[in-house]
Amino acid sequence: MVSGSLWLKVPGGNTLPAIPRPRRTATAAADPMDELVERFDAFIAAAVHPDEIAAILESDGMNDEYIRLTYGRHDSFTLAEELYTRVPRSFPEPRSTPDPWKVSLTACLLRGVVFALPGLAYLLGAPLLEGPPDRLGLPAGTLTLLAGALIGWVWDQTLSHRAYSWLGLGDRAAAGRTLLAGAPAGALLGTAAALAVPGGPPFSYAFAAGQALYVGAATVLLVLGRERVLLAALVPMAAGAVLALFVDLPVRVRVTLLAVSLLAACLLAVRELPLAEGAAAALRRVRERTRGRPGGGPVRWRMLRGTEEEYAPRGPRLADSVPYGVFGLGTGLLVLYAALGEVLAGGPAEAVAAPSAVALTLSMGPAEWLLYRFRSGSLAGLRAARSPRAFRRRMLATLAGCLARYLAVLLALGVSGTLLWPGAPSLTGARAAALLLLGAVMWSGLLLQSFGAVRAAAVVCASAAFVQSLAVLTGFGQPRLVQLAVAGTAAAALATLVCLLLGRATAHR
Amino acid sequence: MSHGRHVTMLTEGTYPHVHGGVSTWCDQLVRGMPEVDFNVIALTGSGREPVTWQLPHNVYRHTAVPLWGPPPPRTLRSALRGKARRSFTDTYEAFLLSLLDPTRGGFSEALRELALLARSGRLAPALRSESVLRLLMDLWTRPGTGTADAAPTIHDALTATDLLEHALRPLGVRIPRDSVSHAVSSGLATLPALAAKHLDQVPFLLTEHGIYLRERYLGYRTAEQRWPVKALLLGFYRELNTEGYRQADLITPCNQYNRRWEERGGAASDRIRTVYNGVDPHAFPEAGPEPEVPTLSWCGRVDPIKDLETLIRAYAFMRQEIPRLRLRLFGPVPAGCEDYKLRLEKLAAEIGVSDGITFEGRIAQVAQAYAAGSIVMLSSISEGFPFSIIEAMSCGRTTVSTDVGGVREAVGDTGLVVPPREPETMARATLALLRDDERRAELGRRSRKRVVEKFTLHQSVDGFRHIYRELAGQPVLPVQPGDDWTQRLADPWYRELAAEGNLW
Repeated sequence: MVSGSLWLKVPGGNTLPAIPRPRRTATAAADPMDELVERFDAFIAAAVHPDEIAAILESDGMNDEYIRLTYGRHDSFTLAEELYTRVPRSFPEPRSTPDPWKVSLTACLLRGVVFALPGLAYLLGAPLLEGPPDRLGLPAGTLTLLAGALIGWVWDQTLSHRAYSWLGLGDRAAAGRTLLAGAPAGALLGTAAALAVPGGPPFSYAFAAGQALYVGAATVLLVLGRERVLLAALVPMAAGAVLALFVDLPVRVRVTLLAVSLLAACLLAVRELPLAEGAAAALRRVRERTRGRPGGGPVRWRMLRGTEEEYAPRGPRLADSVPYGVFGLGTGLLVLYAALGEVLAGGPAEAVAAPSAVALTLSMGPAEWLLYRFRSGSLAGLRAARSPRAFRRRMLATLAGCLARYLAVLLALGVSGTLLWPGAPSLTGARAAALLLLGAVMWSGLLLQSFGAVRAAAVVCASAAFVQSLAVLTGFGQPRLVQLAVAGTAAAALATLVCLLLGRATAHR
Repeated sequence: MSHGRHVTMLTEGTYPHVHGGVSTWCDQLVRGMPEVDFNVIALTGSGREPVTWQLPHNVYRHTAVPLWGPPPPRTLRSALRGKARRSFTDTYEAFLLSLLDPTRGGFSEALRELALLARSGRLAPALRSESVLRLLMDLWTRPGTGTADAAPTIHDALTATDLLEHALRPLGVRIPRDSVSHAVSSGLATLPALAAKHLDQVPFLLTEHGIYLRERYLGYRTAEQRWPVKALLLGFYRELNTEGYRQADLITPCNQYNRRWEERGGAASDRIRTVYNGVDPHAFPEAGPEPEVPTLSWCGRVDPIKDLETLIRAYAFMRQEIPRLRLRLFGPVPAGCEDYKLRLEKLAAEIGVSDGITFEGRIAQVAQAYAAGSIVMLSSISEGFPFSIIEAMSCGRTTVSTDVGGVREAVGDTGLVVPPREPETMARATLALLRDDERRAELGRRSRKRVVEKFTLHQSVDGFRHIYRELAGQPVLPVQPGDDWTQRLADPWYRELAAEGNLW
């Protein structure tokens, strides 16, 4: 998003072109016009109108009297017109065309890791969650945790969008206030969702509450660009989880490690938020309400503002943020079904395809990077294309390249995950196809979202999730086939949308 | 406002959000006419800029119109269909062609149509459509147009269309029908006034301090865009500028020199009336005796446009004749100009005059800066109607200044005017004055007299008071000598003017 004044100035306002000074040694015998043409050649050639040359001559301190005496022309306009016709036009390219979409791969990969790493907490917490399998045959407490995680995730997608929108408007304070109010609310909501699912072991509720708190803290840190800080907070827990694979850690150590990471994440998040300012603002609002009169600022016009409210600075509208939550809900459910679909449809508990879910989560890092690559590629396409058709061709080529790279990464992650995961079901052709189709849905959905077409992506993903839920609940069809069909249809729908929407150059502002 | 005396003041990037010369001038005007109500419409960047001036009570409304705010929401109602769509396409085609070819014309009619669309909120969505992009690609790649040779790309078309969409946003802003619209610069600030003039017959006054179009030409040199974008956008500014000059009921430049560009741009000379900037002779009183050590004083922003190199070189030349001579530079170094100051200090060291030059920085009582000099200097390569010169004159100091903009008109025969960028000429003129105490004193007396007679703040504000009445169709009151409508302007805010006086 471009911002600032319409004419881009070098800071400091030194917009005067650096004009070569006349050579003092130049003799009077030489034609002064020739000397002038030579000195101003590049400026004259690049001018769009004779008056541009007049502007440059005047900015050099040449006034009409000087022009009459030295060049024998009536004024700067006449002189400029003559110079304009004397020098043929040339079209110098801008010195540098920066790529605004250039991001570091490491930063993106780091984000992917930060997304996936909290999953290790389940490993660390596993002994605490022991109990008889629930009625679906899933490990005890799974549904409690999933309900909390899903609702928390949906809330935080919406919250992130609002906070990012404020940041995009350059209002970091408002972003901070949004997060300050939204993150605790999300934590409460996630906990409430977990509590609403009956039948989990007692610890699962405590775990779900911790999980909800973590999601809130992580949202704050990720939105404000503090991935590294969040990673540091996760280190104790992750180290414990890895250790637990080899050594049987006592319960007390496990709980302590979980608590330390959670506490660290929360404290670090709180440190980023305008706590005092938020409290003061809330207090002020309460006081104003009890007093029952509007806050009189020092500036009188605030009260006098009339019908021109349409120009009042406004923040992101709620209606713009909700689709992000819906999109999160859709993709969240789809990933869930990819992992649990067969179990939920009555399959054996061993059929939990955890590696698929992990692969999808880990792939979010490369996915983000490839989204940037796509934007960078399509910008290069815009700069090279001389017709809408040519741009469309280039855009499609870039799109195919990026999607292919993403799917390759996803497949590699899926294969290695299946090999490393103890007792994971093998990645058959059908499972691999489902994984890739789902990957295509996720990536093209994110692509549409990044171009602001989140409503379309949300509708497709939510419908797909709805159809699949319906199939699971009614026991319709063979779960694997249903999944393939749903993901395939969604992928096709999104692909069509991408081609239709992003084929237009105006989508790439 | 039944008495019909309210004014809609249109600003772009200045009052009341930014400090500087034009803003100071706006503040002078608003405070100087407490009996006139003002509706201030300020074009800003994001719309989140704070208000940095305290608005007096006669500013009854202030609206910030962001040029770079979020895109207006697209609704079903705002989409153009069928006949309306075709009619818009024809209008926009004529509009673009008038920008691409200066001789073609048609800008005025097209702008009227666009204003109607803008008022109904349908212009911005239409300008963001794919067909508008295709239309531009089609038009500016036609053989024979200047832009075709520069091989415009889709990116150029997208950039140019976007910039136009943002630039045209003020077109939808409404002005009260019973007010007088006063645009304090050419360009985008005139868009609401032009629309109101066409659609509601609102009288339109245009004031120019700098030359807007000239600044656009110079400013675009450092922009990052390709030639076709530059050609189209500068074409837009050129046509808009001309339209403003043609439609304005009255144009008030702050000096005669600016008329050249205005007449070149199509303004009828009988509708141009120069209203000089003014200074309060009480705030800049007689400075008294000269400093004991012969001193040259300069006051302003330390900015490349002031060409202080020339002044320093001239000073070095004079030092050979008068070794005691000092040069004192008063005024702030604006952000971004720190390098320029370093360059100046280096230059002074190179030619061996560092010991005689002092950078005094910002000063609270600017009148003291003029009093500190035997002569007040100005070496700028571009000026409007510089406050530093009329302030110095008000203090009874004579001046040596470069012949740019309205300087000659300000100085008249009360000081010396030399060509810009010629240190030696400047030095010779100054030396002659420094050696002739009697002449210097006489010129100083005449300077003060000239300000009191021609360039008081009172006269400047009163000029506009009468113009407002005239445009509002009210009887023009005769000007009485000693008329004290204009309040004495010696408030603390006035120091701002004093400190940053010669900002344009």
